[in-house]
Amino acid sequence: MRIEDLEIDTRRHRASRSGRALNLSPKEFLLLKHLARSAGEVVSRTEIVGQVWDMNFEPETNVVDVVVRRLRAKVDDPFQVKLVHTIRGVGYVLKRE
Amino acid sequence: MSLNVSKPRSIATQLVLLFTLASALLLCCGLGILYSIAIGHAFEEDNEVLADKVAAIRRDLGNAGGPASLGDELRVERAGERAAYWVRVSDSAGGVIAESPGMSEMLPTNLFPAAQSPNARLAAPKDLRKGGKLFALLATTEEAGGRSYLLQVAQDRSLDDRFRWKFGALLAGLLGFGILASALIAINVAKRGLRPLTDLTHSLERVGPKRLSERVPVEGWPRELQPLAVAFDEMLDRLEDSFTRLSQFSADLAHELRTPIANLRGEAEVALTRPRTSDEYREVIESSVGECQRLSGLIDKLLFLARAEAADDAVERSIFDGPVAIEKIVGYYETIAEEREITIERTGEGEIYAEPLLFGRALSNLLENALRFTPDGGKIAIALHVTASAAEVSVADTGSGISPEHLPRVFDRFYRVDSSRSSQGTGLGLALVKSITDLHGGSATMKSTEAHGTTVTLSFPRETANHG
Repeated sequence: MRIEDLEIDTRRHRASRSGRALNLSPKEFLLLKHLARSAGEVVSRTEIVGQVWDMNFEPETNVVDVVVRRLRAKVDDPFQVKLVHTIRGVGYVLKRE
Repeated sequence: MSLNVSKPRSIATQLVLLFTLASALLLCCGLGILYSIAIGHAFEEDNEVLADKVAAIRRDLGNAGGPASLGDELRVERAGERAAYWVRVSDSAGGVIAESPGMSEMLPTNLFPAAQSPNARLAAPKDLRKGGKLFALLATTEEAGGRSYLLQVAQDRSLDDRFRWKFGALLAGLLGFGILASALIAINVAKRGLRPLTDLTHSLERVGPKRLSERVPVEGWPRELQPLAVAFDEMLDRLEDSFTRLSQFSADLAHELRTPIANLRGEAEVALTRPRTSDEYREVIESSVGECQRLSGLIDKLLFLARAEAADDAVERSIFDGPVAIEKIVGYYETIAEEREITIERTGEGEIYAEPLLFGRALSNLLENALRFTPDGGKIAIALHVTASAAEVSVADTGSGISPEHLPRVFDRFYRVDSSRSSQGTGLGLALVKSITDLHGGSATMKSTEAHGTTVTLSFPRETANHG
């Protein structure tokens, strides 16, 4: 999978941006993969909870935001172009601006 | 009235009927025995007198005078004899030799029974009713002076008969009076015995939503009814408790809904006070969506609780591996635990028989609480303990603990240990957990030591595994 300069190797569970390997935790990788799969579309928190943690209900504690923050630190922070965007109150989307 | 319309049975009526029936039976037996002894005795005596009479006639016949000497015995009424007698002496050919005056019209020969042998003891005489009188008829033969005679003797028993009727009537009257008296006593006893029930009804009639504290006074009750009174009191205790909780719940619910809705309205109103940029509007809408999500989350939980409470059919359970299911839920919270340097320890293994999604939900609620109350760097221990009868999962934290006075109410809806209603949590988490274990026929218990931490244990029983 490829979105802009982000490359995701679903078979080997690896991701890289601009050729630089990203050191992602399993959950971070799953989240990125899921966002990439519906790139350009908003993915809700409930959906993420279901896809990444295989849970069918949304717990009160918001873990998604924490993992997204960590993912951002690795995927977006070192780069000029941000890919992970928050749609407040709805969810997240992976796209170029 | 058709048969299938049955009136409710009355205990009092049944008691009265049974008691009266019993005493009527007893009276009947007693009076019947009395009657038969008295009457039997009277007629026994008559029989003896009759036999004496026959013997006297025989003696007279045996005398040298033969039938001619009977003169005196033939008189119907004689001094010294209580009853009237008729006597007839015939020869073997049937010709009447001598008879009491008027006997041929009153008691002709053909009314008498066949002659009894003279040697045998006299059998009971034949009873005959004629002209308003009761006669005892007896016939026998007698050999005297080389001739054979037929003796026919009749004894007037009308006096005894009248006595029998009078005595019978007296006893019947006595029986009637006895039955009436016992019925009256029974009615009285039944009324007196059932009076406490009326009292109970009166005191229960006073119970209402506003007067749930009304209790049945237990003192002064018959021993048989005390358990009933106690049971009623216990029922009222439970009702009062549920009622109080329910009122508390609706008050809490109104409170819970008021704040987010006031926020929504306030934000929208402020936004409308003057024209704003689309970014500002966006911000207001986003914030509204967040508030609405919290609200719908709250309502979802309330609905879940309501459905769980109303569910009368058991949940669809399956057997699954405990550690795997626990791992899945822990996996979600691990990120946060890591950030706060809280370790989540898992021990124990075995299979759990439960509805997997509900199990996950219960465990996740416990973990949320544990994480909320455990300070950074603390420890949470999840232990699975599977026995033949149940699977127990306990979540222990090293938080500040809960003081004992809160423990009985921690599973109540909207109950929060810190009454400040901090924004954290809806106050429904543990209520949800409890309703999940209730659905499984299990239990949820909490132990807590202040300053040491809290342990919540969920028990999912296994014994219904063969229920299909």
